[in-house]
Amino acid sequence: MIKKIYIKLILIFTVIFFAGNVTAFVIAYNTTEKNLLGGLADMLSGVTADSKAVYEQGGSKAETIEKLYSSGMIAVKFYKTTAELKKAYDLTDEELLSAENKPVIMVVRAVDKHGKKLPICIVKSGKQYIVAVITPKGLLLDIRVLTFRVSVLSLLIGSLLMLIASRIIVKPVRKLSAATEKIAKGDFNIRIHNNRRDEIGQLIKNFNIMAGELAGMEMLRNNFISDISHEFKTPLTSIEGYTKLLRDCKNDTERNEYIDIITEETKRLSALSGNILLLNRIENENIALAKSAFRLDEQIRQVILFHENKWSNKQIELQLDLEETVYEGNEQLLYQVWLNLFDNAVKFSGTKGLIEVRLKKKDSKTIFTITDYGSGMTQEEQKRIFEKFFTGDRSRSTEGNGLGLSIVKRILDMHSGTIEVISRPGEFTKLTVNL
Amino acid sequence: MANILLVDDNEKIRKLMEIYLKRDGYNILHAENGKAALDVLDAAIADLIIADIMMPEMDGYELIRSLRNAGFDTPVLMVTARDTFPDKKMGFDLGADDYMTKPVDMDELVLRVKALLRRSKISSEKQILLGNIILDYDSLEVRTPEENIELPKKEFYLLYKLLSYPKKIFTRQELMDEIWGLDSEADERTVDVHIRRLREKFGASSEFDIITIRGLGYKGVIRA
Repeated sequence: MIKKIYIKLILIFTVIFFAGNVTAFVIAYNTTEKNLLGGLADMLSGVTADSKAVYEQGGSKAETIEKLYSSGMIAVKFYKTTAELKKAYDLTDEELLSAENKPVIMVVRAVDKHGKKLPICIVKSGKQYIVAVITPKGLLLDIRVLTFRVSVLSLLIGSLLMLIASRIIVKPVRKLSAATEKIAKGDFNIRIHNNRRDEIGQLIKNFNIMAGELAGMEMLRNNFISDISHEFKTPLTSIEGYTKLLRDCKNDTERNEYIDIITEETKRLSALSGNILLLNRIENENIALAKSAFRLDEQIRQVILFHENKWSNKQIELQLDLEETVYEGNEQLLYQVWLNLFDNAVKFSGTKGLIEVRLKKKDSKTIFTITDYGSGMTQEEQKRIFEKFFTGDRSRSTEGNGLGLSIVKRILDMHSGTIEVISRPGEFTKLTVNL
Repeated sequence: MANILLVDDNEKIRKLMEIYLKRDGYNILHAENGKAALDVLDAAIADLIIADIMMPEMDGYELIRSLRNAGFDTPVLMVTARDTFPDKKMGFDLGADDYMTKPVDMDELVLRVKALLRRSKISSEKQILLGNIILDYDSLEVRTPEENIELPKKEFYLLYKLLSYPKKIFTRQELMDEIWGLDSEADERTVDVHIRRLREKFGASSEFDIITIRGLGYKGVIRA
């Protein structure tokens, strides 16, 4: 509707002011009427008394006195007959009688334009009656009118001041709006100067925080993308290279070797793209983690069965001790955790190796451990295994691309869980997950 | 030999699958989308369908839906790049029998095709043949040359399940869910009891064995 907040504010101000004033006006008018008119009543008796005094002194005619007061706030009228008087003001005989000697104020049925009863002052002088009454002009110079004028003036001045005062809100809002537009366009470096402590100040503070977060995320994302494209380039170079060699190759053993390498690198690329999609999905999931209650021990069994051909081909012995556990979390993502951990254990175990998997509940926590007695890792490696793209000794990892454990850590973070590793090179590796 | 219908808009993928499957003796039919697949099925019978999901004209989901609605219970293996859990769930809900995500290992594909065909045969004939022994689903009988043994329902179904997927490990939970139902009051020890009874009835002389994998579950194996 109305586009400018200034205009809105001015209109609101005007309406409030006006409404306030009119109401005050009406209330004041109705409650102070008596007093107001009371003040006028004094003036009326004064005028009446003076008129009587002057008239009875002689020397001035009725008309003269009437003319004297004709341009003022109070008019004086002489009535020669009671009939006229009664007609004009609808007075009773008793009332007329009371005005015989001294001026009497009566609130009579004489009404003004607004239907209000007005006081008149009436006194008998000789055979005539002198009546003092308020003229329209008098009414006009009433305080009520003054008040009204004051109101209008203060309204105008107030509006002007309001216009200036509004800036206190409108200015920062405009700034915020412009800055938000910049963020929408992709400029996350914008910050708004903030020296306020009120709600607007809080909003600006939060805006700056938000801009900072977005800038940070943007940087992470850019780094991630360049890391990934790097990770893709290496296997692709191998594949391209060895494929070319294949064409000219006459030697069977060499040919098979090249083919093996190509197959291996292709598998690595598959795993990589799968992991990237997963990682991406996890980052998005971060906003609203869908949780459900499910049997954790059964899930782990499913993971183990999924890998069956891998571990049975290596004739690996499994020792399982899985306590019946119900857990509430994101089923799909946690599946991925066990999958990656088990996958690693199998990968780094030798033929006929042993893998131990334990799931226990302790107090309100769930503890999962997986131990393999394979190659193990150095202290250095232990510190870094959860980093993205870290694969430890490259010669050992044939299919790995270093994302598996960073994904695991990420998922566990989302569930407020932790993961620790203990390992001795050449002996064993034990991973402990606390949920 | 069996007819397999390959449905995928990518010709190279179809060619690749054809090479692998033909090696195992299957006959191959081609279609580049769901609609073409239905046309092919008007004129020929397929024992198994391998379908992609993302295809123009009619996608994989639509295809399965049409097939199942028309009463075709041909086994369907979905091979697709769509790998999220909701995608899989939708596939299975619509009636797919198996689901593989690309990139697909072709050897694994062939194995799954074999398993699906075997299951299909078993479920359509309702019998498992193991050397001299026949398990007949309708009569709950295990027929050996010496005798016919009728088993109580649960015991029979348990044995039948294990031997339908020989060498595949099933957890107690899985067996319970399938044979006793999801709402059953039975507990995992019930499965153990039934297995024990089966072992008592079919001792060392039978053609099959039930093996316990500690911590995991059971599997049925066929003795060579």
